[in-house]
Amino acid sequence: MTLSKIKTVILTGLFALSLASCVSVREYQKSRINDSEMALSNRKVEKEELNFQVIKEGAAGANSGKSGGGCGCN
Amino acid sequence: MKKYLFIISFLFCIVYSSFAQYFKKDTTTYTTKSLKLDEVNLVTGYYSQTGDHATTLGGRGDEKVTEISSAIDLKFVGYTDPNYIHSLTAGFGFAHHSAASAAWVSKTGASSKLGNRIYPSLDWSMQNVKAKTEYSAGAQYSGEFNYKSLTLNGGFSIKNNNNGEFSAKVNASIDRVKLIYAQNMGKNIVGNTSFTGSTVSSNDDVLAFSGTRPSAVSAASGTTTTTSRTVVSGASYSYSTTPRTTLTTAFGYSQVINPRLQVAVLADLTGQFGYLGLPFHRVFFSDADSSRIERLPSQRLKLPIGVRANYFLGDNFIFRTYYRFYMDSWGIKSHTASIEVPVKLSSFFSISPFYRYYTQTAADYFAPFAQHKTTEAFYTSNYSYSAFSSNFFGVGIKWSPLEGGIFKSVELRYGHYAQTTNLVSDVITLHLKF
Repeated sequence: MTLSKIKTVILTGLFALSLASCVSVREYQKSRINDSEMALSNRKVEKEELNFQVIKEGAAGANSGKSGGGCGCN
Repeated sequence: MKKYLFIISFLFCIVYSSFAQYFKKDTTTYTTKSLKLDEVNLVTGYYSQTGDHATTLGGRGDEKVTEISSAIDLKFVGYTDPNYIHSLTAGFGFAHHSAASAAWVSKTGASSKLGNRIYPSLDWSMQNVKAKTEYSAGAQYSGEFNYKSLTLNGGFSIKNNNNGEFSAKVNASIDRVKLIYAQNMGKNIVGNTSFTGSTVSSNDDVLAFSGTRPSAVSAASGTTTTTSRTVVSGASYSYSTTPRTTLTTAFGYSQVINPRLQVAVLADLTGQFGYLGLPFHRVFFSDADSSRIERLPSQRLKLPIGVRANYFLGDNFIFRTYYRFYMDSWGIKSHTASIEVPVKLSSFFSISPFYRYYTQTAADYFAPFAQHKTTEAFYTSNYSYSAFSSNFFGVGIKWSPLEGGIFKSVELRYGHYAQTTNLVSDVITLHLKF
């Protein structure tokens, strides 16, 4: 089995395990989940660094941010 | 383009305010709240970069860049029904940069290293609280001297009864690239110099070689001379443009696992079409004395898949983790992994160290300076398509005072970035939320 296949299996397994451990969460139990730093997205303060990473690296996307477009000429 | 964006924004505001008034009449069954300013965000950043693989010089030369940017957005929120929450966000950003390589892409023929970019935006969303759905639409514009980009997007999301949320978004960027060819840049170069070193300075013209071509990749063992160039001071040139289109569909599913853990799976499918190189990116060859501009396929398909997992440990620690696998039709495969650990020192103050690791394989069309053959169909010496890895680490601090003060939050973040290509950069960002 190649390394990439092993990684895929591990990630899929971890994700499935996480879902399997789902419990019903009531609104009053979400004080931690609703913390601003628990947000499942990039924050505005990360905007500058995401911009140069898109330009200086070959990969982009799957992070709720820019995945193409724009110049990045310099 | 800016005029159209302004007109669209203006019309939208008129139509929206008309609807707001219409719903306001019917106050017997539900409460109406017209759009009111809810939040203001001001983000200011400073970026500084050094490197020695300038693409304008074929993969060698000074890559020094500094940029200062500032963006503000105003978010308005209103209700047309207790179940419908509307928000309208208008933003405007400005960036000013100084780039060593920009001297070779000058507007006037002089060796200007400066450039500006503006990026206004307008985003709207409507949340249906009862149906647990949200619709959104937006438009963004980015303009700089040699590149204009208009992006339109629309999105939809729906929550289920088990704390899960599915989202889908489509995004279209319609760009125009100004065709400032490398040959045009000959006008920018102070000529009649020669060099024998392995690095290129701003006074060296490597656009054309004469005499014996060095056989090695490095020019250190050979001598190259330049053709005569004339600096045309104060002159202006007109350039034609060519299109580049980027279409993206982005899907996401997030799930609250338990009161301390939530995860999200994100997948994009991006297609780019049109002129995907830049006309002032030079490529040098091992079997020719003159350079050409980079040549890349007119299509590129990107497939990134990412997973986020955030965990709240105890009362003070949050673990924000992210992993992404990426592949595209140009042969690049990459892995990205990051972790950030906000530590809540008090109810109002947190400190967040972070680390990000990135690695990628080279694109099929990349080769360093003077390693391409002229017989190849596609070629580039842009090091963002080379094989490399990078480390990015730093720290952020966040202060969230109680309601009633001027600021809702103040956040400062510093990061240091280093690639194995010798590119090193530092970035510092300040986010003020009012």
